[in-house]
Amino acid sequence: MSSLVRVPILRHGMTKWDRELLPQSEVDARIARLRAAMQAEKLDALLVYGDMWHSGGLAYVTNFHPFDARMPGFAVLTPTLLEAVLKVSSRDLTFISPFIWAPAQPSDFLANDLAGQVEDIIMREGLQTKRVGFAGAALMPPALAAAIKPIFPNGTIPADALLNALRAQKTSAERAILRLAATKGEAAIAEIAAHVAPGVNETELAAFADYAARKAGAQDVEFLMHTQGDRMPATGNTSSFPFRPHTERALERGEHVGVYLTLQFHGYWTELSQSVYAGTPSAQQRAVYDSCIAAFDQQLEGTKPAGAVAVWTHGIGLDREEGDASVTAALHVAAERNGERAFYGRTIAREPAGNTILTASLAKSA
Amino acid sequence: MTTTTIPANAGRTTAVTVDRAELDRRHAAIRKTMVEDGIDLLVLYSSPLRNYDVHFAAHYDLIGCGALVALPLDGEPTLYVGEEWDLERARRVSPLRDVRYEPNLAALCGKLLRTKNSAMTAFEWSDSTFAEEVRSAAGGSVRDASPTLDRAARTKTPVEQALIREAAALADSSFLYSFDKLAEGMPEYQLQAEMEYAMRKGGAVDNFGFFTSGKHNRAIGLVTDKPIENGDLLIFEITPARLNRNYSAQLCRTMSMGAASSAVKEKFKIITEALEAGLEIVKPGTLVCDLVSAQDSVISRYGFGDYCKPPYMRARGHGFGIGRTDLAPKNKRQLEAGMAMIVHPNQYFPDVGYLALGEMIIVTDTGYERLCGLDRKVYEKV
Repeated sequence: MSSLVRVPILRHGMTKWDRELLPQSEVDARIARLRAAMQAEKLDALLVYGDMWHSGGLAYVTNFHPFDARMPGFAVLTPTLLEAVLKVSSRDLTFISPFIWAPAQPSDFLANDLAGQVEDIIMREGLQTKRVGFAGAALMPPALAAAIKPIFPNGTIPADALLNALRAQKTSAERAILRLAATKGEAAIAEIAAHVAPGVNETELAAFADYAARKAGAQDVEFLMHTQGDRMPATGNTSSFPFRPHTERALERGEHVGVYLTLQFHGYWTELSQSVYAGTPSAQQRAVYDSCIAAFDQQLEGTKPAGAVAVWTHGIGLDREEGDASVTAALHVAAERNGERAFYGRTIAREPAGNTILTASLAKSA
Repeated sequence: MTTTTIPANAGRTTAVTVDRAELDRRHAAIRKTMVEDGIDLLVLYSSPLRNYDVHFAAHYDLIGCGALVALPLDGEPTLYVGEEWDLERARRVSPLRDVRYEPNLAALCGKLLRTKNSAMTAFEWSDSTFAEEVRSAAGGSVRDASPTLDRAARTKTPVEQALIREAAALADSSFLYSFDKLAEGMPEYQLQAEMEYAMRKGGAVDNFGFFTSGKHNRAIGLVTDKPIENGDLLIFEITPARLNRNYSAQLCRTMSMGAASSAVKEKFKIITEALEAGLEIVKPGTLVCDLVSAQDSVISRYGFGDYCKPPYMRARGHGFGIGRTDLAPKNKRQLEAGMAMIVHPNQYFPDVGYLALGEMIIVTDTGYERLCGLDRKVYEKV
């Protein structure tokens, strides 16, 4: 299924492993859960691939978030070993090491021997003919896939489901980070709404949105928008996406702008959408916005929203992957009536007792 | 102290339009290398990891999972986008006349590659699932044409050069803006946010931006929450991109929080001399490796030759996006008029750590055009 995917030139926002937010004991428990899952599947080892496009699995196991498209990496996990091979220079590894929890060896991207270094570990640990689970195998570029395949004469066992199932269940520490990320997103959206005014051009608005997120400590940011001529999403079509990059057009007085902000904090993404107005919204605009909020609340409570609205959700985790399996998800609602449009979306937690929004208070006013 | 404000239109120093005529110029360059390589149909592919092949040929910025341009040797090129919801925007932004939605890009790609003498770019930037489907639909192996495209894009058109000049102006102005905002105790990431705000407000769409602060820096890395302290050296490698990564301009500079030591100034003079020695020989026909050795020889002459190789150093500069040239010691390529690149003798010194100095240039018929307007000095915040 297609979706929004924008990979920046460089993931260059604040980089940190905050040991108060994610202590070593939390990491140890995570690795223990992985090993228990491996044992349940009778796996002798787990191999995890990640790159800048698909960084979640590798980051979950190592806390390495590939920050350059040329820098994929692998993690090897056995009952007694956790080791990473990262396609970064030794100079970069010096910088990265304090932020990752797996011992790692660099693989210079000019030497291009990532597969050979993985093979060395597999051979050293005697794993080449053992039951090795592989998460991310389908994500590798073709030449790398061709180089990895012969390492395992008996093949590997797909382990994406194993890893994803664990990633989807957020611990209390992870939920705390997600709430923090959501709070930062909420504050940024409020700043963005205050910045919108007639005459402000879209470039300026996007720059300010990026600024609001980065100065709050975002590791990565994406800001998109929707104005009157843009296409509305279709209800139930989770691949439909109504937002676009900015242009250089200036906003007009009274204009409605749907804004979409997603930011990554400490490895965890949060996602928000909202209507903002260049000036005071009209009564009709307020009415549509109110209906959008009501639909969001109904959707959150699990009842079918009324009115001409589109609702779309997708999972949100270390990757912005789609699907409803995730414990956290982005829930967005779009409404349209008599040509007026409105948006509202937030990151929510799916709990057995019902869905909850990940911020303490909702900035629902237009 | 003077106050630097963000110019309202910082990056828009020229009225640059990427229209169909500009794309025709790029297509003509590609077709020339296609003929040289015996290619009748070129499929230019972009995944999210490498969005610039399609941007170069279609002026469309990918925001989904994939897109491609089918460029025949003769006839109209077609842009295929992988997201139906982005089709309307693609038709708005791309000057190409034929823009379509294709739900299965891999199958289409393979079908196109069944054409005699066809080839594809950026195959290695896809994933293995996509690649297998392409191979299967193509009925065999896939010919990689990334080098064909790289050769076509190595020298920049006048419009591309104008965009790179805009990016360079943004690098200068955002650097000065952040220097003005720099304050003791400010975390690194907040200073970077200020810099990036200036950059993006002026029209940058992204930034290949490294920045590190410390008393003895070993490399330029990603920003952290480390507070900037008195006596820190701040080293920057910032790279605003106008419209797309292909039109990036890098600036490398060093700031000092407080007065810089005489040792720092002395070492900075060495890399300034190295930069000037490198630029001195820039002209069409100069070998890239000579441009590297011109810089290294200055640094070696001062006794730091051991620090001119890995793990301390990798390259003495490079281009951006497609057609990039790495200023690496073994690169025997000749410089050509119209190439754009950063020349950076960034250098680690055992006493003062890593210092940054580098400037963006465009190679001209007789030498080079300096795109950086900043002084070659350590910017001291006193």
